[in-house]
Parts: sequence; structure tokens; C-alpha cells
Amino acid sequence: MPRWLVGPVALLYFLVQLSMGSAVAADKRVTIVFLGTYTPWIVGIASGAYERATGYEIEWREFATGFEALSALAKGEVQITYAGVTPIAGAVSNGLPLEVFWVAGDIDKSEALVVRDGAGIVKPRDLRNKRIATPFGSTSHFHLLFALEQFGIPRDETTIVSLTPSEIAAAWQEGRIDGAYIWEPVQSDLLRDGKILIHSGDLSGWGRPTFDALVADPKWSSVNPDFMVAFIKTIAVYGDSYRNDRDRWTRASANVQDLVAIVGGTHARAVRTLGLYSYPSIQRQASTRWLSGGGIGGVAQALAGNAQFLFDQGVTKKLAGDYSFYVNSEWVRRARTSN
Amino acid sequence: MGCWSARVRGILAIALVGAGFLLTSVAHPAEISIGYQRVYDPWIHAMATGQFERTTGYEIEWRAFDSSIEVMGALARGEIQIGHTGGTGLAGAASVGADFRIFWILHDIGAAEALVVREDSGIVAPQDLRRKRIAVPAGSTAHYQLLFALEQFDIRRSDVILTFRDPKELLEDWKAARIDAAFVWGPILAEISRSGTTLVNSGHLRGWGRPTFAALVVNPEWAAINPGFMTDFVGVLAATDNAYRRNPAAWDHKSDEITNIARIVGGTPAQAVASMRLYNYPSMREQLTRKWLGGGSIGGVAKALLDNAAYLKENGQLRTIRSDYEGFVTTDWITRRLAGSIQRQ
Repeated sequence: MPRWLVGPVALLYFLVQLSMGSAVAADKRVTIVFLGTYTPWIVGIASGAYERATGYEIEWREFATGFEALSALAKGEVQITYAGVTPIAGAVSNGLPLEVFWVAGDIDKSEALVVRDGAGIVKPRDLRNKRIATPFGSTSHFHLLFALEQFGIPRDETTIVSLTPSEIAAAWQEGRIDGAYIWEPVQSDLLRDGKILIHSGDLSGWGRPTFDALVADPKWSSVNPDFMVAFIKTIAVYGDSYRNDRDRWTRASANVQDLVAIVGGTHARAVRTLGLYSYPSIQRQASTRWLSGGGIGGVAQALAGNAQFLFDQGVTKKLAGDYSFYVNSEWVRRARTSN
Repeated sequence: MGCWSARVRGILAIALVGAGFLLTSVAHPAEISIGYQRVYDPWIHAMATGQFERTTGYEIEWRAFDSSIEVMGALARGEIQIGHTGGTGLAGAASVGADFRIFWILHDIGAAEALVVREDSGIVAPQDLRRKRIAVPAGSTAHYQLLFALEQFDIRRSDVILTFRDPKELLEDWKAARIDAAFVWGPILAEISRSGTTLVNSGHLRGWGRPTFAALVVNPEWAAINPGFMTDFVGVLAATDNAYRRNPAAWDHKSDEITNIARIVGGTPAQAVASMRLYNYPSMREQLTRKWLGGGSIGGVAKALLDNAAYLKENGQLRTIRSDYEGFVTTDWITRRLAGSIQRQ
């Protein structure tokens, strides 16, 4: 070997070793974000089911909002995250490459606009000149803006402040806000001295459905296909169990114990909140209603609708071309057909 | 008179009251006319079995009416002494000087009335209602709720095309695609829901501070001289509602209760079962709370009358309204009934 080559080859060898080393590590290690929601798949985090099914070492990280979780995905800190359709649409519009591969829950009644007793809000018209909190860029934010639009209340007639769920609970206690559009478990806290003015089930009925989903970094998933399939099959087991075997989701059940161990709160609240979402089966996920169907698929349409709304409201400054590009039904299809 | 002892005066007073009762029973034979509407409610079953007659000992003439406005008219003319009526009918009658007392909540409308939009109307969300044709029975609770809902969506009356139709005409218009939306109840709601979706229902509007309900009203002069009838009558109402509330599953489409109700009201037993599930039937104790008949001027019923009256005025249907409607609500008969049952225990 010529002398002049020794250095570069050594360097190359070193780099290859380095990348192989990291590739080996990446093969068996993944960081996944969950939010503190009472949804069935969370149970598997407590029981170690995902590690057993995939053979991967999984670092679980909890975030307060989907917006923060997607920022971590953008920075490459995590490979998979849970988030609502609205922050996902916002992230895609801002150029983040990601793939939606699983619909974790149809939001339905689990998010709502709650108004504080004594704030003088009885009916929608009373929202004018009031302070309403919501985490910006979330599905709740999307539905709050949509509700105000449907109530004919211009943006400048209501003060909307961005707070995280725990900040909302504190601000409410101190009387600094008159209402909040928020999810569980904070929603139940607020309902002790408040009432629901409208919920996401109503607003979905007005043509703007919202849901929570799991998204992956497509570069990572493409080199970890076996993980994706095994992971999805395990997630699906929990949703199936909830739909078909409700006796295993009572207050005293091991499932609900595990859920509370991870998310916190009370068993009663976990049982109640589980019932506020609905969970599509793997067959439904693979249909046009959700992940399949290209541009006419349910998820693709919801992403496009959310993105347009965020753009119209001035929350995002850009739009992506084709939102169906960010939906990947391949993993559910493989999970459905594999044994 | 000054030399009479208190004891003698007391005896005289009792004697006079007794004579009054005798005169009353002579002048007013034990009979009454009661106006009802064709709505599926538990008390209709007691009507069918003759339970009210057996318990009160009165002969009862039952008369069917098509609207609360007609019921209030018959009450004012003395043709009936008790009648079934809804929110706006009550507020209108009270505002023009009719004399009546609301003494019983027949049902809380709950989610039983709804604004339904045709599938092919192009209406998905409330703002799409602009420039659309919406039908509603005039002067009904649905009419009142529709106006309130439009206000909440910041849609002015002139932004939509309102047409007043009774429920049957409304169904014909719906089938002929002459209307885009309708706010209605009962069997017609079930029928139009097959080719439409609900945009908002009375449950939402109740949550927004506009409860809607149907009540029984009585001519107060008649009630004052027939106190025994009133407490017995309330007792039968309460017992029938309790029976339903305790075990609604037993009132299925094959039960005697539902068969009776469907026979009098019309429609099918299945429709009666489905409709009754949408309503709430408050107990006597609940009716006495501030949510319903109790609470004076801040009570739910008195406030609802005031809100309804304000609406009728805004819509040009009333010239003047009262400052409060507390005087049209009474807890007397339920209170006496409850006191009577405690004594008997």
C-alpha cells in the first residue's frame, strides 16, 4: 500500500467501523415518545411487551405535547412519536419528513372546551372578550379556532393563550383564564368547577375530525422493517382487547393499573377517559377510512385539512404539496398479513 | 264580636271553612277537563288505565291538542282546567295576562329535539346554514331553540330562509327537497334523520343555558278549591314517572305500558320506546330544586319563561314582557303531596 494511502484508508476504516458500530446499536435500540393519554397501547409500555415482541431496547420518553415530541423527532433525538393530527400537519407543512403509520385514537369526546364557573360564560356568544388557553399547534388548538369560527367570533374578540396542560391546570386554579380547550386528564380536573361548552366529537361532526397517531422517522423505519411490523402487531392487541374484552379494562384490572402507573391520575378517570376515544382495528387502519387510499384516504385528507386551516389562521406560513406522501400504510398491511 | 273568646272564634272559623268546602263541592261537581298533547311520556299510560280517575275519584275528560298555543287558549276560555304545554307557549300566555300555574314538569327535553341537515344540502358545519331554507313548527320549543342556536352561530334571521311548518308538512317539504334543514322532534325527527345529519340538538342548547321542557299548568282558582284532587293527581304523575325511571328496560315495545302509550299518542311502540329514552323525567324532589320549580325568580322554570318571553319580544311576537315570571310557577302541590306521604308513613 502506498504510503500516501495509509492515512486515508485508516481513516476510512475507522469511519466504517464507527458507522457499523452505530448501525449495530441502532438495529436494536429505539427511542419512542408517548404523551400522558389514557389510551390502550400505553399498557404495553408498563409491561415491557414492546421490548419482548421486537427484541429491541426501547427508551420511552414522555412529552407534554405533540408539538414538543415532533421537535425531538426533527432533531433526530427520537425515532417514533405519538402526536395529534394537527401538530403532525403543522410539522409536515414546515418540511419535516415523517410517516404516519398508526391511528392511535379517534379523539371524539376526550378533548373539549371547558369554561370556568363564575367566568360568566354560559353560551358560545359569551366567549367574546374572554381568555381561553390551549396548547398551540395541538388538535385542541385546531378545534378551538374552528369552534370560534363556527360561533362567528372573530379572532381579535377572544384572547387565546398558549399553555401546556399542567400550566392550564395552574392558571385555572388562580382564575387567570376563563376557559381552556384541553384533553384528559386535565379536562376532568377543570370539570370540578367548570362545564363543557362543546367537545371534539361535536366538532368532528361538523366536518373537522381529529385523531392521535403514531409517526416514525421514515429513514429509520425503512431500515428497521421487522421492528415496525412487530411493534404494530403488539399495539393492535391492546386496541382489540379494549374493543372486544371490556371486562379486562375495569378499574381493578391489571390493564388499568398499568395505565395509571404510567400516566398517573385515578383508576376511575382512566376507565372514563378510555371510553371517550375510539380505537380503529388493524383492518380499519389499512382501509381508505384511515391509512390507505392515497390522497382520498382519511388520514391524508385530515392532514391536508388541518394544514390548510393552520395556514389560513396564520399558525404556519407554508403548505406541503401532497399530504398523502406522509402517510404510510405499508407497515399495517405487512402486520396484517404476517403471522 | 269583641266579647267572644278566642276559642269561639276558632270554632266559627273552622265552621266557615267547612261551609266553604260544602258550597264548593256543590258548585263544582267532581269533574275536570285536561288537555294533553301527543307526546310519548309515562303519564299517558296512567291516562290509558284510568289510574287518575281511580285515585282522585274525579270524572276526567281528556282532550287532545296539537300545540301549546291551543292548550293555553282552551285554558284561558275555561274549557280545560289543566293542560300540557311547552316553553314558548307558556311565556307568551303569561306575558299577555293569562292566569295559570306551572305545577309539574312532564319531561326535560334533553337531546330529543334536533337541527337536522339534509345530506345533499351542502351544509356540513353551522356557518354553512347561511342562505339555506330551514323549517320549524312556529311557536314551538324547537322554534325558540333554532333562533337561539342561530344567535350562537352569529347568523342573523335575515341570513337564512325560515319557513314555518307543522311537523307533517315539514316532512313533505323534506321529502320534496324544498327545505335544506329542519328543527323538529319525535317520529318526524327519526324519519328525516335517515337522510340527514344532526348539526346541534336540544342537549347542546340546554348546556348553553337554554333548558327546554314540557309542563302541566293548572287554572289557579280551580286548583285552590280542588286541593285533594291536585295532591292525588301529582301522586299518580310521580308514581308513573318513578316506575319508568326505576326500570326503563321493562317498558319495552311489548309491554302494556308502551302499548297503551302508542295507542293514545300514535306511531309504533318502537318509536315510543326510542323517543322516551331521549327525555328525562325529574322526580318530585328534583322538581322542587332551583333547577326546576324552586328558587323563586332564579329558579330554572321562572328563568326559562323570562328568556323565552325576551325572545318572543325580540322576534316581534310580544309587545311587552314582565320583569319576572316567578308568579306563574308553584311548588305547592308537590310540597303538599310530599308532606302528605310523610304523614301517612
